[in-house]
Amino acid sequence: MAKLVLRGVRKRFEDRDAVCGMDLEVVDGELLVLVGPSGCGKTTTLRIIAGLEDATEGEVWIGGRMVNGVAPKDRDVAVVFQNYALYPHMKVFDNIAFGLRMRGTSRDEVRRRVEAAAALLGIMELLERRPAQLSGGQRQRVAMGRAIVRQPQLFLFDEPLSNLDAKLRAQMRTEIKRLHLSLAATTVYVTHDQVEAMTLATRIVVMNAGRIEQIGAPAELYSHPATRFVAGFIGSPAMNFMPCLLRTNGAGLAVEIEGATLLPVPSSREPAYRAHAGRRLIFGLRPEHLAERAHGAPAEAVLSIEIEVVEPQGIDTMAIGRVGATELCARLPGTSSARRGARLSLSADMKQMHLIDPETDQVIR
Amino acid sequence: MRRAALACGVAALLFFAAFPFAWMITTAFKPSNEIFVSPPVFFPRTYTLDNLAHLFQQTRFATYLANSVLVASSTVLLTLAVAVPGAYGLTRFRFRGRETISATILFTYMFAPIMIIIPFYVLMRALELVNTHFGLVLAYTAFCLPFALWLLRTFFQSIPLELEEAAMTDGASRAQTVLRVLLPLALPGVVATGTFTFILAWNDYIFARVLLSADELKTLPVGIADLYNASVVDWGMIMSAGMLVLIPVLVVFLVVQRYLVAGWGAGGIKG
Repeated sequence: MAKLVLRGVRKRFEDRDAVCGMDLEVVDGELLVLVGPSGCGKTTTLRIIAGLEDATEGEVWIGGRMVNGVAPKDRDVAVVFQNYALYPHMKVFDNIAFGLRMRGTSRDEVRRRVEAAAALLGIMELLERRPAQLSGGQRQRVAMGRAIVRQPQLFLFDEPLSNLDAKLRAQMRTEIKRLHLSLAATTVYVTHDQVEAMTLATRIVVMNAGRIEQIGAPAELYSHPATRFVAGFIGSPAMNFMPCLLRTNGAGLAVEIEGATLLPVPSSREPAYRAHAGRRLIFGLRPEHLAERAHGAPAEAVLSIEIEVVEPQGIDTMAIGRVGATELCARLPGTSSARRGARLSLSADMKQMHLIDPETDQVIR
Repeated sequence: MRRAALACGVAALLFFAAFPFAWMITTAFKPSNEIFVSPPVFFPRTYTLDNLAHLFQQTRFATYLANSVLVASSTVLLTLAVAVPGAYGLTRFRFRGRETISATILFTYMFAPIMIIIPFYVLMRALELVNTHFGLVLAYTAFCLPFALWLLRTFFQSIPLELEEAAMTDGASRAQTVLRVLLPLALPGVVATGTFTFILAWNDYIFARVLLSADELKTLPVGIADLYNASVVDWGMIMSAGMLVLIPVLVVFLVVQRYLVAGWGAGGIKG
């Protein structure tokens, strides 16, 4: 296993930069997830690491060796592709054995290693079949078998679960995580699904428009997003954003939102926010940090909505309404009696609030 | 009712297409006195192999046949040897003018052979390749190549790039990727292209007529046509020659048809 380093990697396609100046270090044994919307450059980055695209600028280092200009076959990386890319004319056994044979591994060794990989993935009984005879989940396993059998320095996953149905996706996600824990292989995993990113990653790299927005552990990105993009991208349902005015309120600070009462800023945040008093900013708060206010509870930080849509999800119920002109979503317990058309009084957990500078889109910290 | 009408139509077409062949085959087995009998008979009253025997004894049919097999097979090999890498380049590399080249290739195919045969002759004479099988093979290859490239390009385009990328990251060189992944998957296309080339070279009259004059070099179409030049036209012999020309083509079709019909089917790639 090896360390992966990207230094100033840029990729230019005809008229636009797909990846602009990427610096990244993936430590030995880490599972790093590149996440972002489609077209953000995450797959291009992966392809540059694999050697399937050349970087226009910058360096790629795998295991202490600069691999710019090195052919994919000599990089000792394994890629699991989005659509599996199994060789349709070969049996599962030969699909998995292909990479070993290309490296001139002995017959007995090929058999031993293919069977070990197949056993690990639970596909022993499929070895004599052709890819066309397999289900989506089975193909996915074969594709992973093809990658792990070679024991490469680096695993690259390109949206491997996006073709599976929701149930299978959750199951395979767990399996990939288990596999990573048992192999402790350095892995770069590309996905557009932030749930996948959160559940799998040691660290997440959030990308947008060819740039890194933020790198951090899943919990860190969730609680301390650096930019408005990360704040909105990580977490489901997405964070609520509302235009606001930050103003002084007696000795402290408060957030004034059109159509709502003043929301007092907790004193722990005041040092960071003090310099911005009097500015128009964006107030951000996750749906799970809004709770139904019990009758007669103190009206500390209250947001009031008329419920327009109720989305029961079993354990949770989403209530969606408006504050002024802005949509607001609250995550309520599944037992909530929220009804469409009813007024709902929500108390905001202001310790979890974020303020975003609309000029820079940076979260103020 | 509609099925019956359709069946009648198919039968009529089939009769129209197959009758001349059937007539040729029965005539090949007729003694010469039955060939010109009036009213004509379809099935010979007595079957004879004399026509076939005459063909091999009195003409150079065996030489023509060997020439045709040699020229047609060489054309297939040479065309594929050029068209496979060519089509690979046109589909797998990005370079300036790629689409222009593809369009030009199709355009060149639109010239009728008769239009290019004279320049071809001049060119071959300059290269001192007139009256050689190699020259003829070159001419056929040049003529088949545009279509072969175009056909293979379409087949290669239909094979997902990810498969080759998977092979390359799996440790295969570019050549291994082509041999182990692309060509097996494009086999129906390669076979179709080869068959097309073979039939074109096998049936061609005009290139062989113009580029070859030595009798011992002639291919079947020219050789058979020259049988008419004898003072007495032996129709029975000509018909048996025609029948024998069909056989290799039929064999080629029987052998390759399973490749043409069935690909490997989907399955490696989702989508």
